[in-house]
Amino acid sequence: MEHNSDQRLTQLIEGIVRLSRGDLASRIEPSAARDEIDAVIIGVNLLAEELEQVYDQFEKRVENRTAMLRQAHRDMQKMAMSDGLTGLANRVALMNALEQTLLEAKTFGSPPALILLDLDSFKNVNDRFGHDAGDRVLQQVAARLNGVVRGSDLVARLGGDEFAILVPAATMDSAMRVANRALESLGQIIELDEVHVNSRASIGLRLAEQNQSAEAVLLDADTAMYAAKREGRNIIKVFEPMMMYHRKLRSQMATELRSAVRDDELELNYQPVVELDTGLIQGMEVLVRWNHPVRGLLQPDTFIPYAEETGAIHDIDRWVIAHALERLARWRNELTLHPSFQLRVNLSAVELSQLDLVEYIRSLLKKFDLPASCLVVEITESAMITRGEVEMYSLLSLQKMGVGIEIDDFGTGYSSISYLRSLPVSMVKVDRSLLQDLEDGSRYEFIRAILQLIRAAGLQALFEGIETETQARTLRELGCTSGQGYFFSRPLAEAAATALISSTTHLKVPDLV
Amino acid sequence: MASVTPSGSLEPDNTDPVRQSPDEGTGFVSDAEGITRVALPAGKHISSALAQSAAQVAAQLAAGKPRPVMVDITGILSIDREARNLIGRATSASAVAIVGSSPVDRVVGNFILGAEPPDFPVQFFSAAAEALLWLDRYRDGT
Repeated sequence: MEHNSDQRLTQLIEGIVRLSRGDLASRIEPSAARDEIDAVIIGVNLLAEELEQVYDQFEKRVENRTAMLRQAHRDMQKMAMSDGLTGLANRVALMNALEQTLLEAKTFGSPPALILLDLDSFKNVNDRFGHDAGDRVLQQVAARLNGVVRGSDLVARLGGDEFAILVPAATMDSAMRVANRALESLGQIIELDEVHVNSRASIGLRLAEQNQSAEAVLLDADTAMYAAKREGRNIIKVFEPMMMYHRKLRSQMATELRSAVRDDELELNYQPVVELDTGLIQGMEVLVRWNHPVRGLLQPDTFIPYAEETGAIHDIDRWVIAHALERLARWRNELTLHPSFQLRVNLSAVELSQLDLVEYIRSLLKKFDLPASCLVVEITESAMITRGEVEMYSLLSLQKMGVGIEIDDFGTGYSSISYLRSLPVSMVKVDRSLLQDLEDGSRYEFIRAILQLIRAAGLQALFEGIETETQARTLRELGCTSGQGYFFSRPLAEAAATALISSTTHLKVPDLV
Repeated sequence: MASVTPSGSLEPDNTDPVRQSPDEGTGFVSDAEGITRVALPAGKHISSALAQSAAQVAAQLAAGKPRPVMVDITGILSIDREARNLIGRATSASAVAIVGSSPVDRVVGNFILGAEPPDFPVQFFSAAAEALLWLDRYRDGT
């Protein structure tokens, strides 16, 4: 009996050892005696069963949680890879796919093509109809693009109004076909309830080269797209290396322009505006020059377009208006100016859309103790075309303040006189191109008609680019009151301008006949 | 007095309340003056299926009115976890006395007590007489 107990205890110990090694499924066999040793055996068996089941449940829970985590990860990945508004792939997904197709091209030889599309004038949709309408337009565009691609192509939204189509294993022909279909489908007007939107796009296309990185392909396609935008929109441009050169030049110019403003490399010239009857200097137009440290003195037409494109125009406009008003204040303090002497400053469309423009001008006038009437802002016809809410607010507020508003380069845009009448404008500056061949009889009649129209609209007319005495005389005969141009004076550097208005209040005028 | 086999058929009142059921493997449920007696089959491993079957018969016997239950586990080999939990979840019981005689029965019985805590009193007894005395106070009307 003693021996039997020892054996059963040994069995029990071995069973516990098996369990402790992790074999939780093993059980210890009890005897028929159902004595204390059996009680321990049964107890150990039951504890092992408990432990086994707890482990099992724990494993299952870990498995469930892991599956949930994986699903959450997949969901997040999907969210991170798609555009919430349109459901298209987003930039990250596009770049992943582009990298993949570039990798495949190394093995199979056919490179992918990347088509970038930027909607023309999409900002106007948001401005005029609100962001809700803008979002619906973007969704429509996404659907249209999805409708023109093949199953293997990938449509993505890169943000804002910028879309992309990845054409894997492409040729120039196949990529162009996709791009053309996209251009055509976006050319059709989008109708949303009451809103009709022209959704045309500028398209850039890049057929990838061997060993090109995804980033390089994207940059090339982007460069081609900007070339399309610059070249008149609603067209497809295929990437050329020269485009990249121009892009780098522009980017360098943008950087330099910003430092030009900061380092006071800009200077102001002043061109007198003259009363044609009397020769009275009615004021000066402020013209900006860039004293480039390497390239010398640059005329505005060489850098203002870049400044407008890169946004540097904002800083330039502010610099010009602040410095010009400071100059005017000094002239008024130091010289005896005619009471109607006005300074004319050019403002860009970008500036007109700045909410703080009016306050900025108001604070400058206050700072330099200047009446608002001594300032005229010149705005190009094209800047007036969009006629956004902020632009109209700026114009109306400036007018209310007493600042004069003049349409610059009239005759180069598409605005009609009746349109100009609806704007808070008091003066029209007729573009110099209209003065050519004034001696020509038909041109003479043409100018007379323009002047009549301007006057009939209750506006004053000013001609720029007057280079000859004949032109000055003819314009005076036609009843034009003011003018500027080389015949009277070239644009003058600050010192020369100061010298001129210190010495005289009048410039030569044609002899009265 | 009626006794019910786990197959569910009511038998005449004069049957022996502690006789073996026709199928020895499934235990035996009987009515002893308002107390349900469940005798689990000695020498068997009690699975959840078997416990479920016994619980169903006990529920039929209670007919929707909770009553005291005595579960005799004497001689059973072991009882699995789900079967132990079933006893705690019995809705037809107002109290459960678990009865066993050997040290093994005591260990098994206490494992049953340690399962999901029930809404009614549960206690282990080493003799049926003590158990019946304890259950008597949970009979209907007392």
